[in-house]
Amino acid sequence: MAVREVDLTANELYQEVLGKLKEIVGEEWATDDPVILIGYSRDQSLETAHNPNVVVLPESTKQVSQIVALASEYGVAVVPWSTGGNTGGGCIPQRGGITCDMRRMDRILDLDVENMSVRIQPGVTFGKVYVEAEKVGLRNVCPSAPASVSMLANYMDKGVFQVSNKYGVGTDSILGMEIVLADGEILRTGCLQQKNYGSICVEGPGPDISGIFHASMGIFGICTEMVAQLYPIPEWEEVTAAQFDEDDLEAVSEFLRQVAREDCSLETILFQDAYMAMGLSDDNDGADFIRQMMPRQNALVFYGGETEEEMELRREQLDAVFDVTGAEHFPDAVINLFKQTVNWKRVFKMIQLTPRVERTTGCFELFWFNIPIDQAPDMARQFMKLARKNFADSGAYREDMTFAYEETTFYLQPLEFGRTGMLEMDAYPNQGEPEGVKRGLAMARDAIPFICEAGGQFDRPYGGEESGFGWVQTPMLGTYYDLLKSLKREMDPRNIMNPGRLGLTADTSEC
Amino acid sequence: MANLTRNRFDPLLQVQKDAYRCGKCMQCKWIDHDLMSDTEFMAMCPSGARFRYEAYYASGRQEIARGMLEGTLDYNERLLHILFTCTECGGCQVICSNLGDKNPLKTIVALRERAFRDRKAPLPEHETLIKSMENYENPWQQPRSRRDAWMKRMNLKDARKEDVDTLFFVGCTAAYDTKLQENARATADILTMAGVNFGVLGKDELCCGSTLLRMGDVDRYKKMAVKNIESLNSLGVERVVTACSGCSSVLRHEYPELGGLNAKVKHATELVQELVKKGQLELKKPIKKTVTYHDPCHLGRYAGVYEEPRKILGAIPGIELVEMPRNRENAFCCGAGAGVKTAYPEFAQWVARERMREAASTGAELLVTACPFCEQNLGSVKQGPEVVDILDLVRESAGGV
Repeated sequence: MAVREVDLTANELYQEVLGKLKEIVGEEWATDDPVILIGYSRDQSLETAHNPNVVVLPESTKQVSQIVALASEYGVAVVPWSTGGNTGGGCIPQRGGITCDMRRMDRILDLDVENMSVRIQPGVTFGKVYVEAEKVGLRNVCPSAPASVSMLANYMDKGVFQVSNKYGVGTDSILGMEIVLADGEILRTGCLQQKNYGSICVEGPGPDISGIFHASMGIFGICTEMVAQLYPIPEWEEVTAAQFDEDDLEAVSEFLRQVAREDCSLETILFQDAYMAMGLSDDNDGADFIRQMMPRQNALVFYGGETEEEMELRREQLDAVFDVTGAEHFPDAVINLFKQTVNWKRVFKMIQLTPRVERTTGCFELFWFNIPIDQAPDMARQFMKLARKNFADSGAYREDMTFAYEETTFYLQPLEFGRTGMLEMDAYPNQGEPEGVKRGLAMARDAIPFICEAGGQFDRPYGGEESGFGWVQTPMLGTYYDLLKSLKREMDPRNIMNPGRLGLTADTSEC
Repeated sequence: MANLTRNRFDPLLQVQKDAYRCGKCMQCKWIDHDLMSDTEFMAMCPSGARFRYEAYYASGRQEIARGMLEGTLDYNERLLHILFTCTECGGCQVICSNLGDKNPLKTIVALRERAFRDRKAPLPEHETLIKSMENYENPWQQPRSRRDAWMKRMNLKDARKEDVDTLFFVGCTAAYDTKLQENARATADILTMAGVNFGVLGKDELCCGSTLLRMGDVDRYKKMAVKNIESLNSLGVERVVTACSGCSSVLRHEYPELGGLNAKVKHATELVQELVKKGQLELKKPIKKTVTYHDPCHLGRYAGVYEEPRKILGAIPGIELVEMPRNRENAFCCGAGAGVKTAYPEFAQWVARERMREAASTGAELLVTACPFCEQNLGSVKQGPEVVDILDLVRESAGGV
């Protein structure tokens, strides 16, 4: 591939690039108008807003390939953008360049009922797949994200499934990917290696290289197509909930661990501060009302199966867990409310309501990592102390909606039958309030080393050069980090693929 | 951060918090997923669905507001296109206010108001409309003398001179558009058949000002609204009824900020449903048609009137109502509102075609609506079911002409 020796000003360069992009996608679908660019400058993280230099909206893998090849030729950055719901600045073009907005690639290419899989493009939302799969008795797993986010991007990014955690994380449901590499070449992995793809997922042949694309935020390539697993919708379902004393986090975590290990839930379990009230109401006023009836710490369990007998068996198992752990059932009134309003679809809605969590401030500062379940309570308490340290006197800013530390939230999910846990701890500083941003960044500087030293592991190191987890954690990884850096250098020698992510490309001369 | 206080009268300061608080959940783009039945029709935002760039959605417009507040964006043709292709249908607002306590509709209104104050608006295409409002007090460049043309030979009471308890506020579109004047006549016929003691203002009726408000010309709107409030309050009527969704929305929800009307405001569908329920209006003649109902934005999302029109259709013998995938709060806009049809007729047509394609997917023979503006725009699409106003059906079933 030709590598152009660029002797142009940045403006001239991007004018030339823009002209060629328009040749690829058509006049309407590429622009450098600042009014358009600003739409891609920010997400719900604390990352500082950055505009790209150009935005392009391809409609096919072929066009994406041509775009990346062009970027490579000119040595300009390419940042993929699927539906824009990132919580960690992953799609903010920190160093400018081309934002490749994939939303025109929004088709479900195939829904294979027989083989329980779906083949999708990047612009397909979780909601779209859910609605179509439900018609044939199948479902995708519910993301810990709104229904409006890209299913492909969320899976690529190791999305955590609030209600499906025994299936692991997003990448565990991927059967195959189509990826445009930094030179424009197209790589197909897993089942998409087959000309007539099917349900067979062959990792390899030999070593499986698809893993380097997982949670890589596009630094090795842009995923343009995915085949993902679907799951059956159970015929029978019920819901119950346990409540705990506010300070007894050990009891909560033990309950969750037991439920997961006994496999008595329909892989549905959620421990969250009373925010589950949001899922039971249609609006914020309703959520506030229900919330008053709820304890701060609680666990929600769905159980059921293909037959009523199976559901009853699970209920007996659950009763035993309640007995062993000493957990208390929710009051009947609340359980009845659950029964009236919560079902699988409702849970799905509940997840899409996550924006309500940040309804007062508008910004997640989330710390999201894996940790042994029994360590979670102590970690959560330490986190609250850090929140107090960084936000304690910020109540004075409430009129400006700066985050108050009392509103720090966290929740715990057992993963893979309770083998490990995922602890999410959230703070909500206000992007529009400089003091809030300052405190949020200070919180990140405190929390990230603390989490790493305590044995927590960020399996998707979000963030950029200002607040990112990756910049702190990745250099601690030694040989692992060195190999990743080598791979990046080899696969993307001009460092054009979403540069500045994961701590791999801090020094562009290295790559 | 740039100087946010450079102009304390900047309308954008009122929406500053929302501009920064937008959490980018991206749900404003789609109808409520919980109610989604056909993913072919899942788009909520007309301008976003057509132009696709992020800036054309509510979430992107919040960023534009931020850029304007911080002084990093300046006006250009594209910015005005983004601001004025929003139909202010309120779809984003419904989703966002339920989820996040935010008010994206207010942001677009503030952006337009600021464009007017910065003398970047009105758009050339809107100038004629505004001049018409100034000269004729209607947006259709029609003389006042023709405002009562629709009621020739109808012998209706003059609300200024006779003792009536209800004013029928006709609205500009039904009064002047010769194709839609039948809607006004149908409303009057229905009120007469039900024995409602009503009158009209004839040539003296003024535009409600809705178009000015939606376009962002707030100052002119306020003058028009105040004039209307004084005029309508002087009548001493108990009730104002209108068959126009835009009028009812402004009279009911916007006028209170300027003092408001003494009379209760009802859309004709609300009153008709009451009359049917009380037995004052009998819908007896069967109309054997499969119909689908298009919720006008200003009647549905703005006023929350979803069920009354459906109950009316349910009360007409022979009618089978089939819902479009996007209905009630999730209804897709007709594409005409907020000055869009005037400034960007091709885009307005594109939106209308999308909606008519959805209507056709239901197999309905008729698309029924309750807004002359919707009827005008949807009716201009050649493919799809025939477009009719609900009051035409009511009159027919009640035994009128």
